[in-house]
Amino acid sequence: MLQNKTAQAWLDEMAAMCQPDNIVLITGEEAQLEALREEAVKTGEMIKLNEEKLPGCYYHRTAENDVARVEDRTFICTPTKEEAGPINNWMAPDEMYAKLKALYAGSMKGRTMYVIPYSMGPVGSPFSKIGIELTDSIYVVLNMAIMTRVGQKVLDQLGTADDAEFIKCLHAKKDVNPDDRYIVQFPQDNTIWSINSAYGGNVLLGKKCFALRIASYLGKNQGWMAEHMLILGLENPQGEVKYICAAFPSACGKTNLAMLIPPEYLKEQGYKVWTVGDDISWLNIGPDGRLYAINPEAGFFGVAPGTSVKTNFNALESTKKNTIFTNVAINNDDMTVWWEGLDKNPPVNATEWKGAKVNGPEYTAEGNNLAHPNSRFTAPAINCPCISPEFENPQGVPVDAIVFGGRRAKCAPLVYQSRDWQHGTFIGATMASETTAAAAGAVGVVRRDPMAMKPFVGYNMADYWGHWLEMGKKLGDKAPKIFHVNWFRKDDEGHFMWPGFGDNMRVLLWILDRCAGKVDADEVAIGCS
Amino acid sequence: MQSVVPKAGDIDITGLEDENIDIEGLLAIDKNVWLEDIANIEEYFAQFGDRLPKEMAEELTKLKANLNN
Repeated sequence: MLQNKTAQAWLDEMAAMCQPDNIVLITGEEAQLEALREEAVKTGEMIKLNEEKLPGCYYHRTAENDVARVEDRTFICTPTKEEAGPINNWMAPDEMYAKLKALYAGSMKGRTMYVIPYSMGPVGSPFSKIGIELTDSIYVVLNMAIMTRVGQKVLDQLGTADDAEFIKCLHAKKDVNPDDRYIVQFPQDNTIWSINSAYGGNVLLGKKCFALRIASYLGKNQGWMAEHMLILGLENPQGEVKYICAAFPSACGKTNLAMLIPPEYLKEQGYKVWTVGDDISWLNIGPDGRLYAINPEAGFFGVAPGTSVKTNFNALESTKKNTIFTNVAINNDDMTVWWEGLDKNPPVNATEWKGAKVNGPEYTAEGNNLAHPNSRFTAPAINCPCISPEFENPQGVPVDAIVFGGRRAKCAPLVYQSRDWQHGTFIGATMASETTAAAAGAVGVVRRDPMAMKPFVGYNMADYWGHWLEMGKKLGDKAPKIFHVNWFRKDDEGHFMWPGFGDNMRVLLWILDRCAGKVDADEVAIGCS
Repeated sequence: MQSVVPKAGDIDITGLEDENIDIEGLLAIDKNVWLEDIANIEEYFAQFGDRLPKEMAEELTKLKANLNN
């Protein structure tokens, strides 16, 4: 089935363990994907939505106990505990392999094992990497086909060399039993094993598991960086485009920033925003010594609630065709979807995320959510009205600025620039976000989230900071400048002091002017050497 | 160079005139708030023991010194 002998031997070993009835190679052909969609509809795994209003769109509901990533079930099994570090869950690799093998044994009897060759990054880019995911879930196949580049073309790129690098990804949804749910990375083996989940980041193994946890480890060893960063391009009226990578903890508006709509007065002057990516960046030093970014993903796995024409027009537009919706609400009158924050009109004839038919306005008035707060859309990146022309560029885009941020009510000014790369690394390492305070004027609980990588670093976080410092030395004076922003400052009455959303572009323009040496600034006590 | 914030006038607020944006307030550094955060940072760094790169400890020392001046 697989031309590459090493890959075939691995597939044989995994199949012998899981014992599927059938093994099917995902070729990437549309006809095969369409047949799988039809099969999923027949079994009820997916529901087809209104073909006129939402062409090619489907709905999927996960088990109620399987609605989010599970950090306490996610492990980094490096050879030693110290290599994983104090903020990662660890178990000795031998012990974990033994535990998991017992769970995988015969788990796919009666099922089909799908073999998904996939590329993180444009196929053939020097910065891209290949994985093969084995899964017993059609939902996973269809999501991977949106989120990554899949199929025979990837196998062709992998080639037949015995030592061709690929990440071995095994997923079995098995019984979706939360007590035996594990998402495990074995960095020294280029291996990811996931079992008993059928949800998102636990099972679409290219995303968090590969593109951040395994990739950050590869980056450390190979001299590049995998970061939890959006990539956006800002075009000025002269047509010049500069790129910014930004890392924010969750719930701080990465997708909104990645797709922002400039304020009217800037639009009129001819400023434009281009989205290269909204979640993950792979950063490599290019031939000219500058840092170049690619988006390793091919789609957006975005949080639906809160997404509206007002908050993120471009994200919403991206979901109008060929999109999979997970755990949102259904409007049974016309088989379209709804979620909190989409508009002020919950459907009267609704199915809420757990599958019950309810009167939407009554249900929400009682304080219930029609859509799960972590419900998602899986949308092709090419649907985004502002997708960058450089999205498929195998060389990536040159990065002018790296921006860190967090949700701080009192600490951290709207924006400040680091003194140098070392100071910038410290700023990234000390990033934090506050939970919502109970009372106005108070501050919530501070959660530190270095580089927004706390759940995603594939090795000891302190060593990861060491790698950042190393990369800075390699880049020298060609390094991007590092900044920190805070859109969430509050006054004493607890009101936000900054309008945010599209107006954040005003701050990004100052950042780019600083990079170009076009504007002076005031020294600040928090950064003097 | 040193770490910098924008001069208040360099953040363009065209079109936001009705919103009473307090740019000076948005750029202000509250020393006490930062000193409190430093205590939290020290606790966070402590869990890494000797593996913490010395440059990170250095930057924390610099930050404390600057805020206490």
